[in-house]
Amino acid sequence: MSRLRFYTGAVVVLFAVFFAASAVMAATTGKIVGRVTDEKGEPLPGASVAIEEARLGGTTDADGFYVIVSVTPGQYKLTASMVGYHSVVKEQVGVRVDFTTTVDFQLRETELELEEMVVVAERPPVDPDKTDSRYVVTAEEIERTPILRNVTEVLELEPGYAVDGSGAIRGWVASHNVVYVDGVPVSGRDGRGIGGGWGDGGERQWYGVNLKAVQEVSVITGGMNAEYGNAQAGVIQIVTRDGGATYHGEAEYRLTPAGKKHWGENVYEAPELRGNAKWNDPAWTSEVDPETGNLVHPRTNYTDWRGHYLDGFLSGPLMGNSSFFASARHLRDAAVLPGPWRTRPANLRTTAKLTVPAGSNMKLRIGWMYDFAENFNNGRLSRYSFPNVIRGTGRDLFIPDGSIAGEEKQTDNMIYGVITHTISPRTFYEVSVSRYGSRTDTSGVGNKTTKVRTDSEGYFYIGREDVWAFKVGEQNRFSLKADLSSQMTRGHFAKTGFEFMTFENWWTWTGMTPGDAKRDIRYIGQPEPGEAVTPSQFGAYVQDKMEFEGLIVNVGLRYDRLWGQDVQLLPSFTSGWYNAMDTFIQAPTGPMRTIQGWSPRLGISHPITARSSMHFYYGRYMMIPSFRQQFGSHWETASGPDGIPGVPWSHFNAKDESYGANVISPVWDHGHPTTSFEVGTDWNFVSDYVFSLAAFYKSGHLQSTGIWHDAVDPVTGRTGAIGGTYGSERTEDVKGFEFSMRKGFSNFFAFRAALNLEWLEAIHWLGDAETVASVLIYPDRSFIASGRYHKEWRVAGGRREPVPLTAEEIKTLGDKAEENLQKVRENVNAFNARGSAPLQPAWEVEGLTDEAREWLQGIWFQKFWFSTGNIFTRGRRSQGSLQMFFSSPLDYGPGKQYAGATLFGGINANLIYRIYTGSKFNYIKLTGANTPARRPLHTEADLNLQKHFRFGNVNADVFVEVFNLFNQQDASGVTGTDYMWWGLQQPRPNDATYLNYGDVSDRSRYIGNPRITHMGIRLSF
Amino acid sequence: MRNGVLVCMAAALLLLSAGTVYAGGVAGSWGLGTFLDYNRSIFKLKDWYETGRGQAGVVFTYVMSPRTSVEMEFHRSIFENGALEDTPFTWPIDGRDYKSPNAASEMRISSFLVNAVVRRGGGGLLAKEKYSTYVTVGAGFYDYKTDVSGLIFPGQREAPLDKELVIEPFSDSRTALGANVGLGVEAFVFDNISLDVRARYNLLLGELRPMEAWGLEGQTFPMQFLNARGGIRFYFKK
Repeated sequence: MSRLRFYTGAVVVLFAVFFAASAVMAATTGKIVGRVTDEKGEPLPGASVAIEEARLGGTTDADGFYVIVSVTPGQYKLTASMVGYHSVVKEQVGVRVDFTTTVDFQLRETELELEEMVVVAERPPVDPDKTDSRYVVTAEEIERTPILRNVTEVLELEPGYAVDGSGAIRGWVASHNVVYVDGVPVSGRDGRGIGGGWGDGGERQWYGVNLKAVQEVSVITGGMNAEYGNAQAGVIQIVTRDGGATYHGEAEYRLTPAGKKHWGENVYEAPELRGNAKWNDPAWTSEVDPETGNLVHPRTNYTDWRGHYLDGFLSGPLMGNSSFFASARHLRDAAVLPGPWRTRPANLRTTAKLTVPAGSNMKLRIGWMYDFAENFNNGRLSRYSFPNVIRGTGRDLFIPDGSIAGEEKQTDNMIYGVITHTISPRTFYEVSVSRYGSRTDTSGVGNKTTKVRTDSEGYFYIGREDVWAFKVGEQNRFSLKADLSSQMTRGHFAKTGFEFMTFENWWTWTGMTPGDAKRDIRYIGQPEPGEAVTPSQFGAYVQDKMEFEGLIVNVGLRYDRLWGQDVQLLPSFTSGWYNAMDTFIQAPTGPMRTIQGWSPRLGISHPITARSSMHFYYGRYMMIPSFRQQFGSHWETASGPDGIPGVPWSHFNAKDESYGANVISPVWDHGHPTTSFEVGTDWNFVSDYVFSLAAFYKSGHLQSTGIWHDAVDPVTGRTGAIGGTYGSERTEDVKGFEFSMRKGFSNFFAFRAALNLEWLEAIHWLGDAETVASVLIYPDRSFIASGRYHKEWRVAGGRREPVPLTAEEIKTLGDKAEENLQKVRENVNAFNARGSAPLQPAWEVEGLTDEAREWLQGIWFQKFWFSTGNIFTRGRRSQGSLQMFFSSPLDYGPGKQYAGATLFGGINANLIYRIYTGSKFNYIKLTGANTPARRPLHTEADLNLQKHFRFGNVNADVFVEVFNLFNQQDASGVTGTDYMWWGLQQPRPNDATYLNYGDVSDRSRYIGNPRITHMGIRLSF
Repeated sequence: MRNGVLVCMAAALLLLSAGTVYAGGVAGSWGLGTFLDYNRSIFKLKDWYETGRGQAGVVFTYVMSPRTSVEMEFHRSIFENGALEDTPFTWPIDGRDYKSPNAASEMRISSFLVNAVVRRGGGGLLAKEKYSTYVTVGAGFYDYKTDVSGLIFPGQREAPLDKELVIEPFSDSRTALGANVGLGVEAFVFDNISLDVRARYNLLLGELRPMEAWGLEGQTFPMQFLNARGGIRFYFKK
């Protein structure tokens, strides 16, 4: 072993030792390997193989073997040369992230009178080193599907990725994915509830890369190796484009013509107005709002609104060898219905990248992603702010334009820098630093929610003065990561790295009903709203890709950890006894229980024939629970103003859920563990047609879900369902088959087809002590006497403080507490139908600090579970897509070329077809037990036709796009017994409303839009 | 009149194709044909419609090699007299069974398919009095529409049952992806005219709604049927 190789190996091992293994790095490069031989097949040591565009190269060893590592994805020209031999150039050598491209050369001696030989390399349709289910879409393929304009739309056509827009991978929710841009994580479990909702799985996932800036996007639906962590569902990798040596640019404009863009009647004639709209009554149509002087019942010709779309990029060289790529997108799409806006408010999405070669072996990339969008706030309480119209009865049809709940601005901003340093032909490292900041703010919010005003007949709402409802928050993430890759020997490609992230997140989402009758606040912050949570996250991995005569073994180990945030020790416990938010905030806190776990991975690939291979995979994943689950709280009042005048957020007694890494939630410290198996095959069965199949099984045990914590108060007895928290009580299994067939572009034609058949089942509250459904919490006599238990509070200095118990109260309540505990010990409890564990002392829970242990002295808890699991299913059973692309050469067909193309030349057609079975709902059978049932299936086809022209150096494409080509209605919203029993999607034939007014849900029952046509032009140079 | 046009078209095809094929290489030849089908539903679709008959169908064939051809076919089928027309429902109010006397249920399918035909051996193509057996695999769009009307609404709560209260007519229609696979024999009565018989299994990624009151539990998905086909084809040399 050479000294260099020894040191390289030592460095890799040191990385592994110090950083505990290889993990969180996302690869952004592939490698090229091969052999250089002479005409007789003898190896040529010392030959050089170079990629001129990338300024990378390698030299062959004694066996003629060479390797070029750290090659960014794309197509290259590869040159092999050696003194005394003619050079050979291989063009169109495709490189993909994480894959090995094999290119062999045979050189001829210069005695022969030959020119330099140029050969077009063909990438084998089947990658023999594929140990996962990974689907790659290159920039060339993206260009061939101009109908797609977002990264997610590209992903939706890949096998395993949900075609319904949910972002799920193999049935697992989108927030369990991880997304990397240029190897930098841009999404994580720290996303707030906004944008996707508050519930589990609804955490916001932002990765706003313009599609035109994408060099390659891939999705790994199964078989992630150890460098990918903190993702149970799948991994999405986006590699953005570098600028080139020449200037290029593109601008695209798309017009959406006027027209009705929703199902059903024009909303002003809609049946849901139910006779209350009197368009033939002059008095009604001319009624004026005395406060504003405006018409009360204005009729907006909303079907006349047009939509606009602008998109473009510019790239090229800068000083020296550096280059840039910048893109921007702006939407002005028309509103489908009358509402706060007619065309989308201000928005801009930009992606920029600067590539600077720093010496011959080092490259620096600086990237920036900025996304700004303005919208009208719907706050937490959308039903009080009327951001949209014509819901339900249509009473809000005449709410004026704009929003009375303020304007909401959302900004996402990420800047990152990546240094790639090739320290030897076989070794390189990459270090990246990134900072992501996201901010939500609402302006123009009233200080109260006033009662809504109505027209003179008291039916239609005409607005209100103020709505107090807003979202505000910041999400900041700093990450540092490094990884080291080395082709240590011909058979070992080792990789190791680490990632460290710190967070500073807070977020508040709140609203108030008219008259301050009801307040609702949801927040991420500790200990109170507006105070950021600042945990730290670490991940590390080590992996080795071993290659033995065609057999690929990819083995790795990963470690993940999250720590460093103080949380409420017993959030629901304290929310029960401190039943106002301000006193809850004063309750004791302590360090969260560290979440950590190890994840081993093993992938094996073996060729079956020269055109087929199969792979097997086993892996464990550990995913960190979302910040909402760990640090979120939700408080809601039942009625009335503040419980104590002047004390904000007091008297929250309707709903007080506090989530978090508390001490009682069972086995919370393990994160979400998942085990995954899959076996798959790829088969290039004819020409460039490739068929792929993967059979997969993934079992997520101890997934977090809500459980109830009920405090048994000596004063009030059991308080009922007063507190909720998150614990690990759910298991989720998915199994299925993933099919795909694809054909590369040849003979004017390419296509991809994908189909997933899945069975997803989730079970709440398994019948064992590890996966509980509920927890009862009891104080004993010593806790009552400790001074930590309170039953009354008084106001002091604007805040409440507990009133100390009297000696008599300590004795009485202590007796009551012991009586409660005795009942438990005698097995008299409220959950006789369930299983239960013995009482456990809270202060003996593992992992507590001394401070927490001391505070919990005298607290007991008992876990309960259902004797049988509550089984439910969700997801879709089947989904698939088909995309077909046809492109004729510029000189195709008869006739001369005008503007660069013949009549039939330069024509592109793009057809995309999506299909998915309906999602599940709980069907209450008219007879017999309830059962899961499916909503109706949906299919949709989109078509793009474009004609290419060329004027000098300028290319022009004129296009027409038709979305929902076959005008299919998506009845995914249809549910219930009427549908299952009588096949009814519409109302019952004897329904009184239907008989009087018609089908009042005809517009809103069907999701999505009817057929819509767009047209536009794309110019490029 | 319509039949006369069809006869004239067939005669024209016959004349056009006469003598255009010679015994040399068959690759590049193309053909036009027409056919009739008999359809039989299987699995859950059988609960809705037992059998269907084909209407006019046309097929264009391109011979890629002595063993392989590619076809593009357009075909219409109709499935009449659906089970809902005769199936009673049990009205929970009085426990009696009721049939809907005016119930009507039929389904029409128009398909546009691209098929690959792989022949056994490789002989027997475009040769008089020769035949070849083949496997065919195809895929394409099946545009289906099922129309149901006249069903008494069983959700009535007050006796006696109002037999005039019927569910609004409804349709399940979709342009669905589908695929087929089958076996066939093509026999040439002349060098350029063949008779084609095949049997195929068809699968449509489409569904029909549940109608549990009539015993149709859950959605019918996918829709599957077998068809037997007889047709005639006229070939032309490239």
